[in-house]
Amino acid sequence: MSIFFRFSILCFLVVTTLFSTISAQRNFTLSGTIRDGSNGETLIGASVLVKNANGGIHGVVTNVYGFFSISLPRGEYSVTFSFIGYESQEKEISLTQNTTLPIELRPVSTALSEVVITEQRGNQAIARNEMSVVRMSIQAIRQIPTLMGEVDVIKAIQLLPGVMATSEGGSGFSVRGGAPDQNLILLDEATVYNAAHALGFFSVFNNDAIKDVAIYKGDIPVQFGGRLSSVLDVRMKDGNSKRLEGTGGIGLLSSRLTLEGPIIRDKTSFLVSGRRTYFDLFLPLSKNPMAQNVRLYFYDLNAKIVHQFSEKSRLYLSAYNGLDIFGTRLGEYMQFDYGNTTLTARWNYIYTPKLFSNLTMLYSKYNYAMGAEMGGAKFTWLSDLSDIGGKLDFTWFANTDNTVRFGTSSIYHMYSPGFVDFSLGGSMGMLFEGDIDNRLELGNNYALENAIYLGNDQKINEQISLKYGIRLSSFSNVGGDTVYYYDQNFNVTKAVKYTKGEFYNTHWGFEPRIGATYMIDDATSIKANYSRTVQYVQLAQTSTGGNPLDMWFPANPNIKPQKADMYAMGLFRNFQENKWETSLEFYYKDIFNCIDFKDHPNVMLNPQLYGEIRQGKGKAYGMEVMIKRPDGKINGWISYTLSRSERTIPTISKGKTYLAPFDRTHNFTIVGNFKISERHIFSANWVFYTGNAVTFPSGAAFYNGLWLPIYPEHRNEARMPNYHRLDVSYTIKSKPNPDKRWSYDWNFGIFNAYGRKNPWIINFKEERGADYKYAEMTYLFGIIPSVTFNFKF
Amino acid sequence: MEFFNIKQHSRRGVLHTPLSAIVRNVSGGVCNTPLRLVFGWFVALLCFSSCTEKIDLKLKTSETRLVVEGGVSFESCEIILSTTMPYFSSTDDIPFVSNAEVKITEFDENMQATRLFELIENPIKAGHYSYSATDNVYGQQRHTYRLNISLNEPIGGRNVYTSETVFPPIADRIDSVRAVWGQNLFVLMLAGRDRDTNSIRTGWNIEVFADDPDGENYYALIVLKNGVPLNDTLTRLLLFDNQMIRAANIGLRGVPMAYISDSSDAAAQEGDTLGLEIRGVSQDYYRYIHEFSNVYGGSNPMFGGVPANVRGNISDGAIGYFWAHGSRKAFDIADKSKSPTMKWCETLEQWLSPELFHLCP
Repeated sequence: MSIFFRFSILCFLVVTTLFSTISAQRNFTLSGTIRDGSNGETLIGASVLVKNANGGIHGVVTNVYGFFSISLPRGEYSVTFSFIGYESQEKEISLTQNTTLPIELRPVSTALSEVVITEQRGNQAIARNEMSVVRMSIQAIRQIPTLMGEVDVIKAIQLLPGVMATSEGGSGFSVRGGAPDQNLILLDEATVYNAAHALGFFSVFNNDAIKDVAIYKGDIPVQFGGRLSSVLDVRMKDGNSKRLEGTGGIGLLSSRLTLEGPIIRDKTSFLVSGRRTYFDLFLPLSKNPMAQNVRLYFYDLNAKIVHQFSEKSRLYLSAYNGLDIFGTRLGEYMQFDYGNTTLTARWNYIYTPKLFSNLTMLYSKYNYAMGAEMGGAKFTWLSDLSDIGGKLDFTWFANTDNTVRFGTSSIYHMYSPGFVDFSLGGSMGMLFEGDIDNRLELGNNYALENAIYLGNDQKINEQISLKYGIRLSSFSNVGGDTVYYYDQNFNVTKAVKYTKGEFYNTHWGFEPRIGATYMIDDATSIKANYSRTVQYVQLAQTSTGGNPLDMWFPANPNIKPQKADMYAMGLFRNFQENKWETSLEFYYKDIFNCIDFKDHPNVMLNPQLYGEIRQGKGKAYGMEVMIKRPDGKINGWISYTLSRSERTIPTISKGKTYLAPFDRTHNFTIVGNFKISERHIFSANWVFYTGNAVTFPSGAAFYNGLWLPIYPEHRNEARMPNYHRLDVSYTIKSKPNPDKRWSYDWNFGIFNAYGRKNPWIINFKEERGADYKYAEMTYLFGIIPSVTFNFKF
Repeated sequence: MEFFNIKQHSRRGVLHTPLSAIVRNVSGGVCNTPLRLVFGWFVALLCFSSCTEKIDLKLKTSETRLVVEGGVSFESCEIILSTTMPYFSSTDDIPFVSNAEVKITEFDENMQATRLFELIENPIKAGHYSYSATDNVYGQQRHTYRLNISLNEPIGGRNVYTSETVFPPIADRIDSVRAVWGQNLFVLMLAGRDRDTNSIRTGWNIEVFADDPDGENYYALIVLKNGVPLNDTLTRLLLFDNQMIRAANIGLRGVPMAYISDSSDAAAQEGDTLGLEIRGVSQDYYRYIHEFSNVYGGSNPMFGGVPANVRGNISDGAIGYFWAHGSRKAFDIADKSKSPTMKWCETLEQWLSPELFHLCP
């Protein structure tokens, strides 16, 4: 504890001394927002390169709101604004006062593209004082071939080094050996608790509404917290502020339509986007009476309004709602729905060109409802989880060499884990008379999660940059339900009912984060980083694939928050004038209070869920290699990850260290795009990874006339077969025609092109007569072709 | 599509117990059922057709362990000894363990040793050991039984294995059962109307009239049709405990405990003799049967956890269970003119109360 205390004092001292020395010097600030000139979308991560008369260079990049700020002494400067896929702009500026520049970059016209891009490629990946971060634009994600042609943010992320899908075709992902619930998934700052549609085969992010995605696999910035492994930061488009525009697509699985445009030109813009699958519409044509009665679809709706009061003040309202519906009318009726809703209101305010602020109010909800009605009997099961909260973030561009971030956040979590209503109508006839209505409710519980943070990004000299900060978080359980306490053997000792609103337990978290970048030369750097993360909520997930019924549950007096200390080091080098980016990263992660479930756990609708949980230590380490060609006629990347993830929990696996279910030794990915011509693009990706660590029987006993499988004493000692798959796609674009506003493209894809049968599960079965047993695998996908038509007007 | 298969005793099986079904339902076991059905649909649709395939897997074989099955009842005292074997073994390979010395010591309620049973191996069936009492008295309620096994050859590094179990009390009599023809609550809830006939399923509900001794009592039911047990394998026993009956304050007075569907293979006709055997098992054995059924049924990536061994009660890592329990039987002639005894209306709510959860693993 005291070490953190000292650390925070140190932080404070460093920051204050810095500012007192700096304020003595007379500097001016160059700031502004960089936008796409064609539609007014702000550009995230665009670079601003400032050269002074002596040839000295300073570079900054825009933040998630497209804003940049840089303080410079009075003087003449040549400033270059650039972003991949856009024509760069150069301006000569004579800085004699604080200057605000609204910059609009034009997307590259097709004829010039190659030249401009090659010229302007920077060494950002080398120079930026951050590591383990990958930012992908939606354009890059769209090129990756996918299952049934559905462009999918999460599937794209899963192709990066250190990120792995936890199950075949699933949306769950494991980052650097972490569990799938250790990823913070944010859509315009609001937490998305279940990013999966249709059992995970598709994710909830509709690509037409998404602008940009960043994944922090480590080196998590101080403004984020609450999860151990990663942050997936998904940003929705703001909406075209120049003209009304529509985009859409018709695919095998779903159709999409997005409308965006100005309400007041250059001031207020809107975006409305919808996607719905229509697989179910064809089911009535089936000859199978079962299929005819199935209701099966999902949809997503995104909406956003952005209003700019002035260059200093901007308001963003975003909303998302998605729902999955599975049902059948066979029998009488049975239905299961689940979905997420998020709402965010954000207000950017630029107090001074050096002080950028953002106030966020957010609401997020995940719920499911299951119901059946048959012969007058009704059965309903509801469960939900919602967050309501706010964040206030400041970025102070103190001077050329220091960028200070500080802020606070507060989120109130409301958990309603289970409500079951079971009623029998009068039609029960013989057994029952009258109506019966029975309810079961697992107590609602509440928690308040708070955090404050302070961090500084400091450039020491041309070679060395430092980043340091601290996040202080707390998590308080608030009364409302019955809390069971357990002894060492996990037997209930007492049950305490806390009154509503009573704060009965608080956990604290000190999360220091430090990083450094050392530039060896313009094309080479070494980065190192330490970060601590704390996680207070987790998913009651016993299976690797996960299912929508898995419920989130908070830390409380029984369960300590999970903590992770991660150490990472990386070597970054670009070749051929930044045409090739390569990186080599090593990480080592210690996890404390890591969670797993005891043998034979009962996690569903169990009021004594906490008695089923065991905590211990975890460890994950690995190496990630990436070779990337960001653009050009042939672009893409090759990545390889060598890793291990293990757990040691006293009462599990007899206390012996065992592999985490998502441990994968090797993970290899190739993603390639080949621009055959301006109108024709061929893309392919190939993945290979070691099979998941699983527990297979290691013997059998014949008992009571039945074969009882015998499992090894230790968990996860066996492996699923290795996984590999090739996907390809071919895109044909319409002829560019400046006279016509509309354009289209056709995308033809094949998922699992060579028909590899990758096992999703392996079951052990016995032939009737119990004298013959065998292993049987279930695989989900054969060769799946797809065709998608996308249009824009 | 076995992976969303429902345990035999809940859906595919011949028999249903409304009571235990409801409780298991609420505790999660059967709540899976509608869900699994729905998921099953989805997966079935995704795959269009079957997408399973046999594969060759090389499985490690863990150290050989002793397997003990058997116990003491009112009528018998039997132990079967065998060992574990590689997973892909067949029934011909079962290594029964011969020439062991198997003894069971009986203690009364004051833990005074009262009798010693020396079990003798059946000369025809290797590994099957039994004791025949001259007075025909075997297990007795509330007595403790201690099993001692001395092996001729060590298994799992040991020669000696022990276990101990208490014979739980059981009602002295099961007054009677009544077979009543009609609908079944469980079927109504989960399966709806029959697919082929579109009619509500009918069948025979078997009501129980019995005493239920004080204390926590756990029962396993076996349905008998014309004297033939329909569900006597471990995974198909109907399980219930008396706490839900207590909570409902109804006693075992006419509660329909088992159901034989007319559309099942075991469908009964008027005039058949239908009966129940009630076993009064210990809480730990009750848990064992649940775990056994779960492990036997296998797991899948959506619902199952990490597979784990069933926890038995034999010392030193041996597999299996040494039990002691008694049973009672009663019969009734199937007759459609009988009407049901119970009205459940006021009582279901109590059965569903959360306090009951921990009883239903």
